[in-house]
Amino acid sequence: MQTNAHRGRQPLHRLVIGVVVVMALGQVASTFSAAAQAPAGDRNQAVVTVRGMQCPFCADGIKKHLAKLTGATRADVELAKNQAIVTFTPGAKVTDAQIQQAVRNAGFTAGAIEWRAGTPDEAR
Amino acid sequence: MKVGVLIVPAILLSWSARPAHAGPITFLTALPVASSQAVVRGQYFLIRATDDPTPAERDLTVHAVPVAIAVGATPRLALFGIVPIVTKSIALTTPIGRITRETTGLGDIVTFARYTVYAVDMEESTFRIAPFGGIKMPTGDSGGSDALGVVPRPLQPGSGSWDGLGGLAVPYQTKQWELDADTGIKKNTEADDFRFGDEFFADLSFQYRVWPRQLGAGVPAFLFAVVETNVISQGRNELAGASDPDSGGTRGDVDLGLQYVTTSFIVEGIVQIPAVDEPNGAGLRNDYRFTAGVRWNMALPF
Repeated sequence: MQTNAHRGRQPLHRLVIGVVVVMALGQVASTFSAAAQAPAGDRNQAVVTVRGMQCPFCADGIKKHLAKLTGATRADVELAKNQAIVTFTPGAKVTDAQIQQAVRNAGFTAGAIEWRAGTPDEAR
Repeated sequence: MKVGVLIVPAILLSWSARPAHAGPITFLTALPVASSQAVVRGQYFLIRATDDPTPAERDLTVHAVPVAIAVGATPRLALFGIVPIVTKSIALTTPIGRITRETTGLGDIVTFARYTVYAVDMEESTFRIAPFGGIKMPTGDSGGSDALGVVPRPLQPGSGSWDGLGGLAVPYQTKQWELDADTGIKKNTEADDFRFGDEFFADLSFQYRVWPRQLGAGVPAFLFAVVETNVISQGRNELAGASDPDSGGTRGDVDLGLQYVTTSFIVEGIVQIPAVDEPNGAGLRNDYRFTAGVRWNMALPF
């Protein structure tokens, strides 16, 4: 009986192992995906196109949301260019998706994100 | 009931609130607010109404300080609260001579929610459609009296009733100009045998950037010239089920103002001049209304 019961659980074990493997692969894929969007090397400054930002009062909300991102050292806005510029500490783990979400939280729409080298004092 | 028939609509007009671009001055429903951000708006306004067709020569003055708080709960949902302090006084000629009646106190608190159901953000413009709805709570005194007895309901700081309001706000904004519109209704209920007439309102605000002429680096402050219009139509009040023929009516204002907008605060002022003023019966006509205010943009800790 015990042997039969043990055999009866085998398909369940295989299912659990399968789910775990799939989840692990998903996590690895997600990590690779995020890493692909994260700043590489000395490119620690993100220049984000923001759609819908039309006045100084809106610009402030976007700056505050971007400045909250992990590793952000400063956030600036170039209103005339529809751009927000976020400078991160070297090696900061931030993804394009997180930046886009911060812009969405401010109530606006994020466009293209360009990464470049920058220093905290040279945001523009 | 024959005095101050359009006072309440005038105050509510300023309460009819809205996401965080600069936004209109005389209505709040188009005010833009980012999530985890709050905008606090403090205003002072003065209403004068002296054009009285009756021998009573009524002379009405209203001072009000409505403080509004708008909180961005999510990128699309904003919650608003307006707490007014109101002083209303009226001088009139009676058989015993010229008298003045006055009330001061906390008015009715208005809360409402606005949800952006449609948004199109482009690099050079943004367009939103946002319905809103809420309630007015009877927090203000509605049974105050002076040496002459109980003050008429329209002169009380509060209405005494729970009322509902709802409508639609539609802002369109570019860096050079902004156009905001809203329209809605306020359904009033009865309290203590008195019911204010229901209200319909429609507002339009055009803001044009007059300075700086060219945008430079960073985020410069803006100076907007502002032209707004407000239309409000109110039904007759009812006392013990009977309609007051001298209450309610329709008024349309044309407003001229200035608005200085920085990243963290706004200073604004506007004068509203009646273009159409058709009170029912012997209702008072407004001479003008002046509004000045400031707004602060602040981050919330959550």
